[in-house]
Formats: sequence, structure tokens, C-alpha cells
Amino acid sequence: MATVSVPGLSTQTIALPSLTGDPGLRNSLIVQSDAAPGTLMASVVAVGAPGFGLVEQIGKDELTLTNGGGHPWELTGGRDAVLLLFNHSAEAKYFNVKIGNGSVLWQQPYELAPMETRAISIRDLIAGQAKDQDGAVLPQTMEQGEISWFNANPSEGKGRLMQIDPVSQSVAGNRRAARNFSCSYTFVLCGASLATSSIAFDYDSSSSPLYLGPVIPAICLSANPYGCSGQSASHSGLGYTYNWGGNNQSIADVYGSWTSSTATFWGYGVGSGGATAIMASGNCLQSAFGTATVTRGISLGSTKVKNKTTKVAVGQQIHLTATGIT
Amino acid sequence: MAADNSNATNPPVVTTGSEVTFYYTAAGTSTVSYSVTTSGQTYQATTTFVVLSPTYTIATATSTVNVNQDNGWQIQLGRSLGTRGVSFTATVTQPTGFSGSSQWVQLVNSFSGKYTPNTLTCTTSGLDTVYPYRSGTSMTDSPNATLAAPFTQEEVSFSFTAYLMWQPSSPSIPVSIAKVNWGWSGTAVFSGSIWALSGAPVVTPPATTAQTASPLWVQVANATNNCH
Repeated sequence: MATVSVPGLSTQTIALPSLTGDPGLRNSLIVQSDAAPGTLMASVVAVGAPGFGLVEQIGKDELTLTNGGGHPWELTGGRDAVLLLFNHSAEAKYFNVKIGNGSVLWQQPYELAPMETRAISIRDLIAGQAKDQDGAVLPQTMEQGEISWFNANPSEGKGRLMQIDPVSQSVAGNRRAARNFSCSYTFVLCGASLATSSIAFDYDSSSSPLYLGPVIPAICLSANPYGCSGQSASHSGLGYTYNWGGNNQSIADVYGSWTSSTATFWGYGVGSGGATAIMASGNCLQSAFGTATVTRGISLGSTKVKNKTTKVAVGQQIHLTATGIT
Repeated sequence: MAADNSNATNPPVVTTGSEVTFYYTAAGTSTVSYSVTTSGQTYQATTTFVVLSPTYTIATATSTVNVNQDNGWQIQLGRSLGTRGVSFTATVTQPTGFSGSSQWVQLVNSFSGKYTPNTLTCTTSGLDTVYPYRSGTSMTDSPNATLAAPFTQEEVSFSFTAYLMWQPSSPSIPVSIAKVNWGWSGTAVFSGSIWALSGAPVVTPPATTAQTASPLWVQVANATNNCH
């Protein structure tokens, strides 16, 4: 750590000592300033690293309200493309990554520890046929497309696409250069829905293994970081907060966690009860609605056996009780 | 509540109310359903039981018919003071996850005795002695008929069925898992001062079959209650 003073309306170059960086580009340099926001701009240029003649990183302000970014990528002609994600917050955060090209859609959340930088090679994802959250893989013939990433909330992390072009770029006579692209976007939570919006289970029991959810976010691109609407961008992502509740708690209410993307319920009365999941991000609250239907059951002693197969022995007393009948 | 449990001892074909109690006596699969109508709506639910039963083997041994004085003069299969007339030893393998106990219940299918010279005929049937006949997996029996004056010839015939029962942990009932049919007949005559066999006695060797129906009786067998 070192402290320097930069006079107003001036540029100062700081030559760093020879540093042994991570070959996977997972090192980060943090420049902190006591100046007012927007006053100081910083960038880092690395020269001469094996495999990367020149790497230029434009500094990013951790307090900016943009929470995502994106850029085209290309692997033709020996090019490489690496997404660099950095969690500069004090908590683990999800970075939701989407890679697309026409009909191809690959979506995967990555959880980064505090101060962790993660390098994601698109070439490696393709070569390794890495499966995304839905089991999809990128076609092995895929050589270009778009990549985007976002956090659920502002000021959680930063991302860059490092496009590495070994032949076509020439910077300062070095023919192997890596350039970073960092188009910043603001992604807002503009809607919510439930993957499973209706369950039916027995009276006086838990709905488990059935549950409502998970809550699916609708993500929109917005010019207004404080808005909750915009151009539809995605229907996938982790890192949001959730709050569940039963709309008719005399019939069904949340049983277990109220703050997960899924919720199990307990049947307090026979009938159909609504449930609401509130999904939050920044200053956006979005609701999704489901139905928890509680049905009459059959108990063998204290064991719920409705729609189940139970092993019993000859001679064993079978005392069945229909539950939920008042 | 209704069940398609044709193998239940208490088949609740149609039972009103919200509870039902019954027992299965045979292995197999059974589906129980109930429906309830309230406020014009009918709800239905089902549950399925896989009924498990023990497996078994039964080793049998049979002695011979003889006349002896082990307990006064008597014609007997086997001896009271020696080798038993029949012995049954079962090996019961309980269903996985269940434990229980075994017992034997024996019924006298028929007994007839013809007593000369008064041409007295006695018959009986029913439970043999006591319920259960034996606790555990083994049982023996040496059925006999007393030979005494004023008779000079006695012709007796016995037919039995021994039921191997198994009862899981409480609450439960014992259920039949196998039966052994067996019997014997013979004639003794009194000549001079002794009784002796007359002709060739017949022993029906034990025959084991699977059995799920429970033994039924209306009385305890008594060879002297029905003579004419």
C-alpha cells in the first residue's frame, strides 16, 4: 500500500515495482481517494507479462450505480476472451453471467467471495462444454457473441471483458496485446414470477418436498438506476432478497425460511390459500403470486400416507384416519 | 373409507366415518381410498400398502402307532414317555424391518372312536386343548385313546390341522402363515389280559401348505362329549 498526492487537473504516473501476478489475470489493484466522487480517474497498464504484451485496465469507480456490463466477444484468429469479475464488497456476491449468440443462451451465476477476482475464459467454457444453471452448453463451433454480467444491486462488484488479440493489435511495438472492454449498464429488477406457482399438499403437514418458487426475476436494462422498469434483458439471476408470506394463514403459511427463493408451507386448514413472494433489489420491490392448496389427507398413526406406498406386515393393526375433516 | 383389500381380515368395504381399523392377513398390495363430501364438493384420497409376510420352512417327523402303558393302557401315535408322535419345527424369516413371534394353533378336524362291545361311537372336532397350542416355532403331539374295560375293541381315527401363526409387534393380531395336515387311525383289541394292535394302523404323514385364512373353531374338542 502506498499513498500519493495528485494535484488538481493533472495526471500522475506511478511506476509499480515488478509484481508477480496471477497467470489467470485474477489480481486487482485498488485505488482509493479522499477526493469527491468523480474527481479522480485511474487506469492500470501492465506491460510485458508472459502471454500478454500489454494489458490496460481502465479504473472503475466502486460507488458507481451501474451494476452490470457487457460487450461482444470473439475467438476467431486465435483471439481469446476472458470475463474478469471482481467483488469489491465485504460480502459474498452473485455475479450473473449471460452469454448469447442468436438462439444460443448460456446463463450461470457465480458467487465470489469478498475481494475475489474471477477470470472466466469463454474459450474454456466452450472447450470444456461447461453446463450452465439449466444444463445448457455453448456450441463448440461458436466463435463470437455477446456477453453480459450483472449484480443484483449497485456497488457490489465490477466486471470487464478482456479481449486478447495476439496478431491484429500492435501497441508500442508489442504484437500481443490484451484490451479490456467495459461497457457499463444498469440492470434493474422489473418483475418477478414463480417457476412453480401452485402446489397441493395435505392438511396438518408440510408441503415438503413440494415448494413454491424459485422466484424468477425479470431483469431490465434501464437508463435510470433508480427505476424499476426498462428494456427486458433477462429472466435469471441470483443475489436478490426474498420475503414470503401466506395470504390466508388459516389455510397455509410459510413453514421454514421466509427469505429463500423457494418456500415450503404448512397446511392449517383445507382449502386454497394464496402466497406472495416479494423480491427486492436496490429500491425495486417486485411481487410474485402462487397458490398453496391444502387437501384432506390420510394418516396411519402419525404418519401421512396419502398418495404414498407404505410397507406393513401381516397382522399389523392398520388404523387410518382421514385428516382435515371438521 | 373403502379398501380393495381382499386380503384383509376385516375388509372395510364401505365404512362411514373418518377412521377405520383393519388387519391384513396375506402378503400383497392393497389400495385404500376415502371420499368425503362437504359443501357440495367431493374429495378423494388414496394410499397404498405393500403387505409383507414372513417366509418359513417346516421340518416334520412322525412316529408309529402303538399300544403302550405309558399312562395306563392306550393306543397312541408315538409315546407319552418316549418319542413323540409328530414334531414340527418351523424356521421363520421375518420381513425386513419387522419383528414378531410365532405360535402354533391346532384344530381337531375330526375324531371318531368306535367302542365294542357296546357299539358306542364318539365324535368330536374343534380346538385342540388350548389356544395357542404351543408358543414358539416348535410343537409336538402324541394323540392317544385310553383302552379300558368294559370295551374289548377300540377303533380310533384322528385328523388334525396345525396352524403356524406369526404376530408382529403390538398392536397386532396373530395371522396364519402355514398349516400342516396330519392324522392317524388304528384298532386295538383286548385279549387275555393285554391290549394289542389289530390290523395295520394308518398314519397320514404331515403335509405342509401355505395358509392365510385364520383357524376357526366353535368349541374345544372333547372326545367324550358326543357319544351315542
